[in-house]
Amino acid sequence: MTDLKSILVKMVFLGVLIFSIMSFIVIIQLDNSVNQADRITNNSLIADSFKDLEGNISQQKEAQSALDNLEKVPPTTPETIGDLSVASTVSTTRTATSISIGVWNVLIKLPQVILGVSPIVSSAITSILLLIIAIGIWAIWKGAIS
Amino acid sequence: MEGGNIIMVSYPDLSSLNNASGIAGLMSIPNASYPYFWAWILGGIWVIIVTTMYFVDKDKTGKGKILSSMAVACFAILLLSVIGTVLGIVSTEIMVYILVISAIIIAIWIFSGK
Repeated sequence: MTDLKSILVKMVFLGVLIFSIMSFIVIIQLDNSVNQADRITNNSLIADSFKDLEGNISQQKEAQSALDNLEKVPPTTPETIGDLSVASTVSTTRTATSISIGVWNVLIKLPQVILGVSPIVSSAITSILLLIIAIGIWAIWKGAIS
Repeated sequence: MEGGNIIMVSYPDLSSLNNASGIAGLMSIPNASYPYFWAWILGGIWVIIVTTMYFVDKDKTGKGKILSSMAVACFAILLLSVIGTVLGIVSTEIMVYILVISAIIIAIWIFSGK
């Protein structure tokens, strides 16, 4: 069975890798005074994807502070008995979701626009992918796939 | 032409070079007549790197991994295309295409690993 953890780790690794490639290109072009028209940030899609990835990766600090807050909650304090701290879990989940969405935007949406795939075709493929994911989750949940 | 206008286009050649042009000026001459010249050259270099790595791997280990060779060659082509943009011979459009296609190949390589 495909491990969910390995998929998430690969997504994070891929996001960091693509971000580093884009960052490398931008820094080299800026340092060598390449014309504004020849820079990749001149392309709005690349610029948006770069900012998107940058925003996603910078959420690491938020996730770390959420984890620190969760660890600071003393389980023996009478005031916290019976409380359920969901803020940290929500923040971590949001970070994991945004990482997936960021990588999705860069790897699926960006090529669709740049390579000129029709929106109808891309919508159909996205729908099929989402359906397969939903059916796969259901199959794993029911134990049909082990 | 019947009923139309004739537009004369003067393409640059070697005579349009001067001392200030340098190697970048010489290399950018083909772009004036065919904008995808260096894209094809980079594509050819990519194919050479891929086949070289694949067959060397196959000779040494008996089994080649074509996807790994393609992904690693993409890094080399990305580096060359960045140098091309610094020299002014690779346009933004070609750079974006190379970046997107390389990202797709690298993503397939990473996600296909066990």
